[in-house]
Amino acid sequence: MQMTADGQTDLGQRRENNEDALLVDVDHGLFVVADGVGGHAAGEVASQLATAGLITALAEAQVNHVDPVAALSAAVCRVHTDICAASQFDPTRQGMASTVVAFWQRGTTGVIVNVGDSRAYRLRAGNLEQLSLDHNLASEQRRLGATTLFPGAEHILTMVLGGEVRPEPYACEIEIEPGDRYLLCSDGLTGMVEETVIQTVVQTAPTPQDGCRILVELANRNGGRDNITVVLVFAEN
Amino acid sequence: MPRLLLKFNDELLKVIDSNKDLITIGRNLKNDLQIDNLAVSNYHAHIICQLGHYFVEDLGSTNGTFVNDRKIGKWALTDNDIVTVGKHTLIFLDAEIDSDTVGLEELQLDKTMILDTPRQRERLARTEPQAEAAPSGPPGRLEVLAGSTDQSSYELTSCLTLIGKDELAEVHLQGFLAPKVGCYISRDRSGYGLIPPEKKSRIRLNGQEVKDAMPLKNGDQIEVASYKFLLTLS
Repeated sequence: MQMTADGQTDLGQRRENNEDALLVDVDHGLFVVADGVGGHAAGEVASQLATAGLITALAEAQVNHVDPVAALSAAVCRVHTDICAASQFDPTRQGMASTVVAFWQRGTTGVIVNVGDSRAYRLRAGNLEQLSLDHNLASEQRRLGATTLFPGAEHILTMVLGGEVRPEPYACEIEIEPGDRYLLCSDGLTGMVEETVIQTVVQTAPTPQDGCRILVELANRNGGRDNITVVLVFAEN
Repeated sequence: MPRLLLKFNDELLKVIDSNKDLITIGRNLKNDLQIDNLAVSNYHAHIICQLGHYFVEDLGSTNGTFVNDRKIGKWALTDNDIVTVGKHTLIFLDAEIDSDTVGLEELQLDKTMILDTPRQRERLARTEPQAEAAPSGPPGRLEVLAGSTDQSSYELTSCLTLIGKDELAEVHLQGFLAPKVGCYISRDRSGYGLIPPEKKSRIRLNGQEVKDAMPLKNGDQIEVASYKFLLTLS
């Protein structure tokens, strides 16, 4: 399946440094967005470890022909260990962590894996569907049937890479159809731009590059409170 | 009272109706629900009723407990949840789920205590009210000066208005040569903005070619291909 893709990351309007990281590798079908947390430039380190670690792990997985879902989940868990190790020996990096959402495309099948609140969406036949699972308090509260959410529940992560608890990544395998459009993004987009607006842009953008530019522009116009990172992947018709 | 269906390879083995607040599951005979299979730990999991809600909790089993194919530690059960223990599945049927049951507050407080790590405190501190993104003031109007469209003027109420031939376009251009995606008009707190869909689009603002997003003001004239619009803001 022929894919076109592009990604863009932006500081936003309120932050002094960009702690997000992204990876767009059409040749290997690997697309990643990571949103780092932690002061003193440590957030960047964590999110970079996430993107870099996935490339290495998947290169090995391709050689060994292992199950893609297991390979990607295992890779994410290994990144968690990397981040923990990196923060252990450097006091300035203590407490650094990262979310991750990755899309690995192999022919007409794809794997989505995520930890934290960075999201993956699929646009198919005019429907925008979230494929990832948010690991935040709001999502857990909704699952428990709560009608009123804890203040700031959207921003309280229940699982991260580099946290005290070993993450259990959410992973799923999907069939890719011609014309599908995939969006990976950090909460700097989803917290600023409504889903209906995101859908309009993803559905009508002429190219992935234009779509990314427009989404970043809209998030910034709405306040740009966090770093904004988007990756768009179009499956050719 | 919920009902549990025990299945193995799609074959229904047992229907469990119990009034107990705790149902233990495992290979040991002392369990309420005994499953004689090596994939099941001696004391594998239990289903517990707390404050009117049913939870399934793994008891440190060797092979884990899964709900709807996801590995869980503790899980709030809802109707039709599929609990997998070894090679056996338990289907949780709860016809009378009462979401108003008291006690959720206590549970959530408990949760936040667990979540209260330095990282999460930092994220919480970063949190600000979400309301500011909402646009304010009366909506602007877009009048059609030239070109064939489905209406002669449009009220710009949404956060993003698309002008084009696309089915999603609110300002629907008619005619064979009309662009599918002409341009976007965004609306936020600071007002309206013009966003070209691509760098090479033929969009003009007051006669000037537009490559990047531009803020819009009252009386601006927007040209998309051979179509022309006038923006009125009150």
